[in-house]
Amino acid sequence: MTTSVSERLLTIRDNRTLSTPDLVSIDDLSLADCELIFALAREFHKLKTKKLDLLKGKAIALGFFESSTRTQSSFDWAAKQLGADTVGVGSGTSEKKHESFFDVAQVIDSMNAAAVVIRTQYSGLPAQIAKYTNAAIVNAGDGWHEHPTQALIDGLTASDDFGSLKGKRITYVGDVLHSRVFGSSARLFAKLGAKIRIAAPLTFIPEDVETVFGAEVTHDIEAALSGTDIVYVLRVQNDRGATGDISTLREYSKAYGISEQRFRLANKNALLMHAGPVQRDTDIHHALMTIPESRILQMVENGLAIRKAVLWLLCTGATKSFTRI
Amino acid sequence: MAEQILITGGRVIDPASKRDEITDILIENGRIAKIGKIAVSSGMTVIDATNKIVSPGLIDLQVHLREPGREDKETIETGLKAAITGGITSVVSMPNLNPVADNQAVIEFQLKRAKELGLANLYPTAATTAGQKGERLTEMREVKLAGAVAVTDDGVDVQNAGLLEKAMKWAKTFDMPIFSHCEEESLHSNGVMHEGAWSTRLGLAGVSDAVEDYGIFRSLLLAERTGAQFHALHCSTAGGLQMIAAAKKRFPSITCETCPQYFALNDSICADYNTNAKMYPPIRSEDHRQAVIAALKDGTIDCISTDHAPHLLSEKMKPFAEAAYGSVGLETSLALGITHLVAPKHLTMMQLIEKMSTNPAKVIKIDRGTLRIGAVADITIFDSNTEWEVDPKKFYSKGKNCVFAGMKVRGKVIDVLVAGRHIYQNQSFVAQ
Repeated sequence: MTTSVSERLLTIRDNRTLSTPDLVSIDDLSLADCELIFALAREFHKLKTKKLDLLKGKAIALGFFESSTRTQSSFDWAAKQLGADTVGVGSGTSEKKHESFFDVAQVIDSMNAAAVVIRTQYSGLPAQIAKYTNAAIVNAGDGWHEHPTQALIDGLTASDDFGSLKGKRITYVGDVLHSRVFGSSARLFAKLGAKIRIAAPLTFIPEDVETVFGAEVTHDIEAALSGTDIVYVLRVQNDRGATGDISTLREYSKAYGISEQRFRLANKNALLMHAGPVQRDTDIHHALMTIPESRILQMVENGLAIRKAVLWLLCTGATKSFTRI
Repeated sequence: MAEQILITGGRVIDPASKRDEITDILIENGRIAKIGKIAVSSGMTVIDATNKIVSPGLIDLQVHLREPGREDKETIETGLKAAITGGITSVVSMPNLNPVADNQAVIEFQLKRAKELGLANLYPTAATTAGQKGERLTEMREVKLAGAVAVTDDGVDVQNAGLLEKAMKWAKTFDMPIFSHCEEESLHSNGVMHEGAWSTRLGLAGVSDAVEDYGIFRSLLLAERTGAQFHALHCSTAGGLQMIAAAKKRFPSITCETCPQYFALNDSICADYNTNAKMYPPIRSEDHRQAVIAALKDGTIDCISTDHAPHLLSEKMKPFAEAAYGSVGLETSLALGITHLVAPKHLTMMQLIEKMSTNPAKVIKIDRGTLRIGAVADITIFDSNTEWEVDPKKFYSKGKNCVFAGMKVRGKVIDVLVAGRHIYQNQSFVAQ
C-alpha cells in the first residue's frame, strides 16, 4: 500500500530537512544530515523500484554534460520512482549555440524545476551555478572535485556492515589525483570518524593531500593494505587526464592492481569497494569481483536508495536564497 | 607670464631626492620650478594639499589596455582614465593586442591615441617574438624607434631557451630592456590555480611554484650570460625571489616586480570557485605571500605593477577552468599598497612610492618618477587615511572583473597632474 509506505517514510523523516538547500559537496552536510539520509535510504532500499508519490508534481532536470551510465540512470529512476517528472538537458544544443552553463541553469530554473542534477567535467560548476537557481543543485560529479551521492553510497554500504565507522581504516588505492569519488568519499569517511589512508604512485597523489584530508599517504601498496578495514579501489582515469601519469596500464596493474593475494593483506572481514566503472584485471583482479567481501554491486543498488533520499529531502527542503545574473 | 600652479601644505615625498617634508611646490610650464615655503601670488592656481601626500605620479609597468583589438574589454581612453583615478600618470602597455604590438604601426597607433587623449602618459612595449609566437625575433630596433620602451612576450614566456638567449642579445644590442613572464609551460598540465592544499580541496589542476621558478632560473642564467637588461614580471614565488636576490648581487641591472594580488591575497581567495581570483601567475599560498612581502622589504622587489587585465563579465562567468585569466587593478593598487604594506609597517610610504614611481621610471629609463626641480610635473596627491570599499561598478575601467571587489582599503587619490596639467581635481576629471 502506497499510503502506508509513505507514512513509514514520513515517520522516519519526522519533519526533518537537510541543513543545506543544495548538495554540491560533502562539506555541505552535517553529521545529522548524513544520518537522516542513511535512515531514509535504508527504507527506500527495502522498497526497491516501487512507485511512490512523494515528489508527484515536481520537475527534476538531469544535466549530464559528461556521459554517465550508472549515475544518470540511478538519478533518473530514483526521481521517477518518487513520482517526479524528469528531463535530460545535458546533451542539448546549448553548448553548440554558445549558451553559458549559467544561462542554461537559469532557463531550466525558470520552468520551476525543483532540482537540477549536474554532472560535468568542470570542478566547481555545480557550486557556481547553485548561487543562481531556486532549484536545488545536486552535484552528480564535477571534474576532479566531488561526487557526494557516491560517497553517501559508500558510507551507507560500509555502515551496513560495520555499524559505526569510528576508527575503521579505509585505504584508497589508485588515481586519487583525478578522482572526484575520492574527494567526496574521503570527506565523508573522515566526517564519520574513519581513518583515511592512500596508496598510490606519486604521480597520482595530489599536493598537500595529507593536510587537506588528514590522510596517511604511501606508495607502498602492501604496507598500506595491512590493518585496513575497507579497500577502496579507484580506477585510472584516462578520460580525465591520467594518461602520462603512468608508464603503462600493465605495469600499473602489476604494481597497484588488487589481486586476491593483496586483498588478503587487509584485515579479516575487510570490504572491497569500487565506485565503478571497474576495469577488470587492471584495478581489480577478475576473481575478486564475486568474493563475499565485494560490495561493488551492492553499492550500485544502494545508489538508487541514496538518490531517492537526497532528492526527496532537497525537493521538499527549506527555501533557498539566490540571485539572477 | 608662465602658467603657475602652487601645491601648498602637502607632505611632499620624493624618494629620488630623499625628501619627506611638509612644504609647497611651484609648477611652471609643466615642470617643477621650486620647492619650499612659497607665497601665493596673483595668477597662481592653488591646490591645497593640507593633510595629503604629494607624490611623483605613479608608473605602472604592466597594463593590458586591449586597444587595438578588444575595445569591448578596454580602450586606451578607459584604461588611461582608470590609471589616473588610481594615481598612475604613466602606463606601460603590454603587447598582447590584436594585431600584436610587434611592429611600428601598432606602437605608433597607441602613442597617437594617447597623445590625442591627453590623459596619462603611455609607454608601449613590443613583443619579444613576432606575434608572441616564440618562433622568430621582433624587429626591436624598429619598434624602439617607434617609441616602444621594452620588449616582452607578456602572457607567454619564450619557451625555447635558445631563442630566448638570442632575444636577450638582440635586445641588448639595441639597448632595450626585456621583460619576462617567467613560466616553464611543460611543468604544469593546464593548471588553473596555485598547486597546494586549496587546489586539492577544490579539485582544480594546479600550477606549482616550480613552474615560475624554472622560468626565472632560465631567464636569470641567460640574462647574466648576455648582459641584457632583464626585468621579471609579476613575481609570486619564494624560490624565484631567492634566485633573483642572489642574481642581483652579481648583476645589479636585474630588476623585478610584483603586483598587489601577490602581497595582499593568498590562494584561499579561490574558494567558492571565485573566477575573479583566477590569474597568471596564480595567487599563491600564504608562505609565498609572506616571501613576497619579505622581498618587498629587503629590496629584492624593485617595483609594484598591477597586471591590470580587464575582461568581459561573460568571460569570467564560466567554469573556473574555462574562465579568463586576470583582474583589473589600476584603480586599487595604491590603496592596496597603503593598506597591506604601509599600514602594517612592512614599507614606509617613501618606500612604497619608490616602488610605484621612482624605480619603474628607472627600469624603462624615462625622466619621470621624481619631484626634483626641473622635473616634469607628473604629480599624484592622495589622502592616505580615507577608507573606502572597492566597488567595480564605480570603476572607470571597462573591466569589472576585480579580485578585490568588496574589500575595504585605505588611501584615495584626490588630484593628479600630468606634465603640469591638472586633469583630475578633487576626485573628478576636469572637462577638457
